[in-house]
Amino acid sequence: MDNIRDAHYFLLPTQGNIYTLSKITQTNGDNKVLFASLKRKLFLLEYDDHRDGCLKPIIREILFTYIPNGAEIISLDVFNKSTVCDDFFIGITIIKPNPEHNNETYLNIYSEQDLDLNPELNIESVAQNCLSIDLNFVPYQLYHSQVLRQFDDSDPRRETVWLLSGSDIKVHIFQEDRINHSYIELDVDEYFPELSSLPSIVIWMDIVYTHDQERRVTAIGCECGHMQISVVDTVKNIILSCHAKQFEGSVSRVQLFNLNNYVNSPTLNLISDEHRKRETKDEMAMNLVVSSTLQLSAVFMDIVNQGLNRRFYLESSDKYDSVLCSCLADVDMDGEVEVIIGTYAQELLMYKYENEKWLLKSRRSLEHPIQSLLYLDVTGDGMKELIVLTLGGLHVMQHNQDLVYGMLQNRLKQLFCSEDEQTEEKDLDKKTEDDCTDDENGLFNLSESTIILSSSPEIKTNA
Amino acid sequence: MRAVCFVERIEFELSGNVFKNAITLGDVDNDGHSELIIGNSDGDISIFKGDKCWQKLSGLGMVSAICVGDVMNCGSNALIVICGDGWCHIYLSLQPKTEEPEESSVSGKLQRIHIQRIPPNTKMILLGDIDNDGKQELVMGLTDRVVRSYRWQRSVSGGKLVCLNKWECARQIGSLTLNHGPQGAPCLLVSQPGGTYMRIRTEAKETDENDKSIQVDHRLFALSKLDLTGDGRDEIVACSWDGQTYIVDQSKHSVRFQLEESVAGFCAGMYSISTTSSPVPCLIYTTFSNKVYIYHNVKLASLASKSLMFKVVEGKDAVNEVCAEDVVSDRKKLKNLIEWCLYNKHTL
Repeated sequence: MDNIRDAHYFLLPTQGNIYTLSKITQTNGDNKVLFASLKRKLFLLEYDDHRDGCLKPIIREILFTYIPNGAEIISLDVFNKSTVCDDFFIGITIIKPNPEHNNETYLNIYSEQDLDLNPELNIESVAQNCLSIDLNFVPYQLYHSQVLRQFDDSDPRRETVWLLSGSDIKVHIFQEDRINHSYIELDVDEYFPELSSLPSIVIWMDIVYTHDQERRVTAIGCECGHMQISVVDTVKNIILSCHAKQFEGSVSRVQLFNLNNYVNSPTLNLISDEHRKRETKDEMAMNLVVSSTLQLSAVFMDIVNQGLNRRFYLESSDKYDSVLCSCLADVDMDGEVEVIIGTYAQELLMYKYENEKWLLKSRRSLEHPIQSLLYLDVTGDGMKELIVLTLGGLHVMQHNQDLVYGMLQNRLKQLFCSEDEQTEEKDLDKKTEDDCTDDENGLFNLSESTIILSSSPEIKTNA
Repeated sequence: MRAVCFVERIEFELSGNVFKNAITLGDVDNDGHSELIIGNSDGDISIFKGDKCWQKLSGLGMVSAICVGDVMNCGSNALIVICGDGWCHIYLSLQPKTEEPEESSVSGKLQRIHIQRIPPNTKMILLGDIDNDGKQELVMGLTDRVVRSYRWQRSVSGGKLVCLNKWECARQIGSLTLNHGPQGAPCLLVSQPGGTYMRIRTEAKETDENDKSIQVDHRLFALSKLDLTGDGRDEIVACSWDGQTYIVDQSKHSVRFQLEESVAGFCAGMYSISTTSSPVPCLIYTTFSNKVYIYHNVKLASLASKSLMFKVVEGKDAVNEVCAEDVVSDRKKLKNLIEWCLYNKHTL
């Protein structure tokens, strides 16, 4: 418990849900967090980096236009349409309960900040520019992905579209129609054939493209417990493979991930091209974590090649009521991600892949049911924070800085010092490990992670 | 302002209303560990050890204030209870001080050894050496702006509290504290409305203006000193009626914690949550829903959360050794380097 602590806590006026936490990653690399509470309030979390090294959390309410009185926020999602500047699109789905008629539901899309004046995100300006789409179903998860569209006048091009799961057991696709300043709904069979026939409402979908955009892996979790993965050839638009499994109770979350973390290496002369070349990502080594509300949650490894055959149940994940969310976070900083799940019974559970097994490494209780998790660097100092949305509020949890700082120093030496100095470094590592053993029962214990250089057999034996 | 959320707590049932001065931490049985003592308006006193109620005293008047200390100047702590019906009770554990308490034949439980009439409108008490004579005096604050001091006087039949001084304040008394001046001279501070306080030296008397204040948006009612960061310096912990708790350190960094309930009484201090564990900093609340909450995992690394990058730039070490100056000065590059170092799956 000693290694990751509350850096900030914000009390929510009303509760949010599993769909109301979203990150905003700006073009300059800064991260912000947008979150909503049921009763029409949206908040932005950002950090102010003071010159004296103190981090100052700032949470302010953002007033989004066109959210009528009495309306409730169901889900939100954010993406940046541009790769060179901050051209953010924020989608918010709302429901306006109407006891006499059917409930009114809308998808509000906020965009078009005046980029000529200010190329950086100005969320207040975005929040004033709304396009509202009338829905005839109750919205669930709001998501975004890319489609390849053929336009009459030019070559086909990639466009980001909104994907919205609905109570009508369909996934709806909305694409911006720039000329008419509106949105059009695309045919799901044509663009996402893997989403065309569904057994029940999609609670969560996750779509990952390969870098060359030629393949896509789609995972969905449904209300009835149906979970399905599809590998799609996006050039020919055909489903290459599809696997499904029936869970008991609803699937609350599906999340695709690579076990190995890949971070773009910094532009430094110190890092040789050879070194860079070795650090390439294996895009098809895709894994999947499935959160179940009733039975044990599970991780499926190498799903592109082996389908759902390599299944690992997450031990004890059914003991703390329903699992509502999951998050992939390299909390021990060894280059491989851990799975963190959040449950309704207020527990955070952390699992690590060790010796070809997913093992429960630590857990921690919070004061409210856990609805959503993010692991990102919101403070902008290079170290990531765990963001936890609970029924009562939003936690920002920070790693123990002294431990991380020590680890960073060791790692720099390991990475940039010559071979003959290696033995010395190893001793140093050992020492830090010994130093850390006091925190044995700590959640997200960093002490195990000082050894990371997996390809060197000598060092590996240390781990 | 930074805010945190403490989770781990112990709960006790406790009926009746608790006055704000009727909750304290103190070593009543002289075993070296603090006990939690709470008195309520029904005349019951509950003494908690670890996570259990250790002793309950009943049949007193409405308990308006309690304190623990060596009031009789005999080397053992006693429990002093002030009741709204104008009685002052003193309880003492008759077990002698030993290294191994379980071998002693005498029960360690408290017994009443003294009862005395006092003004019925006493609302707070403080035990301390106010006149630098090496003996403890008992200072009482009354609802009619009067402060009195007493000392225990031994006699053949036992002893009694003898009134030494009576001071009258200009306005209502907020709280009493004992501080020491530069030469170790004790002085009694009586807080007054409007952010002022009255300073009482044993003989002379003067009033001073408040010299340090921090603006908060809630009415505070209880202040305690406690070292939550473990750096050897005390932080000030203040609590308001609506559960908002402020922790302020000596560099004026502050952290907020909200108990999501109205608070009847509050105190902060070192407390052992089980008989085997050592005392840890605790925040203790009594509420209007007949509950006592003890938050026992309230340690904070520091009151201000710091930036890792700042630490890297400040510390002239490994990063500076391997990186050129332009990396350390370029925020974006340095952030990228830190992130890559920490999170990338490295291969050598």
